Amino acid sequence: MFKYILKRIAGALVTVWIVVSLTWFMMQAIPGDPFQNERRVIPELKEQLRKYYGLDKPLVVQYGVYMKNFAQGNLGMSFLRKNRMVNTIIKEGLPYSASLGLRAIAVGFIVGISLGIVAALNHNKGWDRFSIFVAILGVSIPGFVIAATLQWFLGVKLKILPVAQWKSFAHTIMPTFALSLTMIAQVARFMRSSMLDVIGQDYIKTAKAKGLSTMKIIWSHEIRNAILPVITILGPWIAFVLTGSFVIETIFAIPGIGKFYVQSINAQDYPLITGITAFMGVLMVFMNLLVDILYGLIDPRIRLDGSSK
Amino acid sequence: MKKSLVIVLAMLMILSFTLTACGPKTPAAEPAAPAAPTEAPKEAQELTINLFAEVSTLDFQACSSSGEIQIYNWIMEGLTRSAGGGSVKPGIAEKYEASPDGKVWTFHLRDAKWSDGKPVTANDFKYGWMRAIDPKTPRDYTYFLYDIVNAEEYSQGKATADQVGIKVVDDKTLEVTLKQPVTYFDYMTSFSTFAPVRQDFAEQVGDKLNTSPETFLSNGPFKVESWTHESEMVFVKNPEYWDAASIKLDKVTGLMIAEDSTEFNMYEAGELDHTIALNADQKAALTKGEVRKYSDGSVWFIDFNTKHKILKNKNIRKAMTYAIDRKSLIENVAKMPWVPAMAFVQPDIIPDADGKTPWRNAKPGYFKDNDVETAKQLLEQGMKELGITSIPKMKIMCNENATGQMYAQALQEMWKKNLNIEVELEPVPSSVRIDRQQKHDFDMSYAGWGPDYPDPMTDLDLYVTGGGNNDPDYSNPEYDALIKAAKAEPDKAKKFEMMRKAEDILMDDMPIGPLYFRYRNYGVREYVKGFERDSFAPDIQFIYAWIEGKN
Repeated sequence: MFKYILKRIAGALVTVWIVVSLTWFMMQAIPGDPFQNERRVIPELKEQLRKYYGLDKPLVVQYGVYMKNFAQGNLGMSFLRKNRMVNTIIKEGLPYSASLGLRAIAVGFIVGISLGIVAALNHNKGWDRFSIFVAILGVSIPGFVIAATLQWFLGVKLKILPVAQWKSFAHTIMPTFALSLTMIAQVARFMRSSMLDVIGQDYIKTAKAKGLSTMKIIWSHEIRNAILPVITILGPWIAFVLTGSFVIETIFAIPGIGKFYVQSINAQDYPLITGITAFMGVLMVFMNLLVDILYGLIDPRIRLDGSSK
Repeated sequence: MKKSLVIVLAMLMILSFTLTACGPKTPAAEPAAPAAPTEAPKEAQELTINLFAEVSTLDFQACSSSGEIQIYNWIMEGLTRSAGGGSVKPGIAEKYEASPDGKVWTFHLRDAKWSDGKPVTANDFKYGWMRAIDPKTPRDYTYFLYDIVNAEEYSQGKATADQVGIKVVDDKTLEVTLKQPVTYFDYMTSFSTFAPVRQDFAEQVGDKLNTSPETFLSNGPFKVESWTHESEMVFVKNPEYWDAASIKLDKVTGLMIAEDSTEFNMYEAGELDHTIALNADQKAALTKGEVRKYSDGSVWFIDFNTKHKILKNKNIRKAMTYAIDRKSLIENVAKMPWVPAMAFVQPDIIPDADGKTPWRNAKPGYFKDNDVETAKQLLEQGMKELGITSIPKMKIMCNENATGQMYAQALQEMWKKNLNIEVELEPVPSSVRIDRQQKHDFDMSYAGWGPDYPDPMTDLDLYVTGGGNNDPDYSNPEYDALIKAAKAEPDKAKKFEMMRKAEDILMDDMPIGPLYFRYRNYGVREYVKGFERDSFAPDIQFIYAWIEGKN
């Protein structure tokens, strides 16, 4: 068991190292540098700036310095936000992004599952069509259109919710809904087909023949079995939670970290983009590692080396 | 399979607990202020504006964007203060004078205090300025001080601090010696690079200076009350400001709303008192307050690479410029309140030698808009000079965003239709565009420029041989000589005459083809009085504003 965990940790470290190095080198490959501006910095000064930030050294040396700091948990100073550490930017922004993402997942999952169940139980009837309609809507309309429409309708016309920002519960409703719509659509479709599949199974007929009540059949046999495949699409959505949404955060002026994905690349803010990517990489790898270890603990048949039979 | 469900759900729960624990905290509601005992209720003097985005830095010596310079202007005051329209008025300096040769400026400070009650002294200015040129911490705008004797040398480690021409005569007197006469030096001193910084405070907070409310020391009309990064900044009136009696607003909330549709919706919902800009649709849909127009100061043009095998010919550059229908570009494509540019220096905002009449008035334009006939003749002449019979396909570099491509496409069509010249679009991210412009790696490029100070030199200085912003790689010794002479000339009338000649030359050689001067519409609520927008940083001017008739 111990050996298994060690192996997984070693694998995770290698993955993080590859992610960080790739991001770092790719950022260096973009033309231009962070000190260019529409208003040109005079060449001597630019040289001084490059020296100040250590960008005048050979790439290998810069990479070495970065990796050394990274190993100590120091992601460096941002260029885009000059007096702030990348660590601070992530620490301050992450709670907003994660809070929004988790709300969206909860709403998306619960509403999506319910919609899927209702649709399957009313196969080819009104509710079914409604859920398909919602699914098509959710998949085909981009988030920013939904967001802007909501803002105008609920914020400006009806004045029942604040248009933007992230300050009170009321502020969270529109962004949560806008972000969860795609998930609602996807989950509903999955749940519907999965339910339909289960409903046609022999064991459901058996249950009916046994004389079980309809509610009992739906609850303990149909839903419980149908929901399992839907869980598999939760994985990618959890990733979504952690990374934040560039579009929704920008439209609703939420101070999360989603927007830095785009801004830091445009500004050639090497420390920020590498820092955020690395942070996400570590988090994802860590989550996977945790799942793997739990798997190993719960199910003794799963072993990396296959030794303990 | 069921186990995996349990695991995933468990993970989600753990995650949600961890995250709620460190979730964004909303500040506890403040206790309601006790109701005023008697008299009619006074209107709350509170303004909510849009800052657009988080600033890059508020280390004043390092500020360079218009958003940063705005905030500087609200919470600080230099020797002089921007008074709108590119003019300045005395700030912390009660009065100041330049020596007859224009090289020695003496500033006399008034009795002013920092927000902690301590006096503002000449040494605070010297300390701030020396920070700006500190060789250990180079900053983008360090060169703003290079007019000062030995400032450049010191910043590059070639001179010592005591050789720099900044002298503290006494607590109330600062003497500055310049390398050459700079007629607008009092304008420069209103700029954030020239901010005073108090040594004891700066040393106490170290590199945390101006990063959170407690590390700010203000000597201006407002001070920072709170700063939620990436979300909002709250400013309150600074009672220690020497002119606090003229300040009516008690509180200004600056939100960071980058999306223009969100900004518009917030304005319409009453959550914002102004909008940074309005597009044509928003202007039509606006139901609250009023629409106002102002010049954002920028001029837009095409950079022609003067070393390109075809574009090295000035008649061809002229032909390309004359063949553009600016009116149509503005009205049909952009649908913006812009003004066609048939010259380089901006109208309205850059004054002539008398300091009042706009420079552009004396000569509104050098050519006619959409002059296809002349363009055709020039093209023919140019081709003859080059000994060619057809123009090979050329490229125009533009920003890759939707509007960037749309405007370049309009030009592409005009050149095809009017001159039968094929031009290909080269859309690139702006960082790449700037990099390639600087390396002169383009045929043509869609570019713009905004003024730093209200003098034609802010524009004309760009195109001296080898200049940092000389993207077309233009070189004309006569032009260089005029700019150099104008800079050294203490007589304003003569200086302006030389600059006029320089613009004549530039528009005859046409390394850049002017397109338009940009103006903007914006919305502001009817109850906000004394709120203005300016073409020079600081753009948003509200320090003397007040609220009237909101209730």
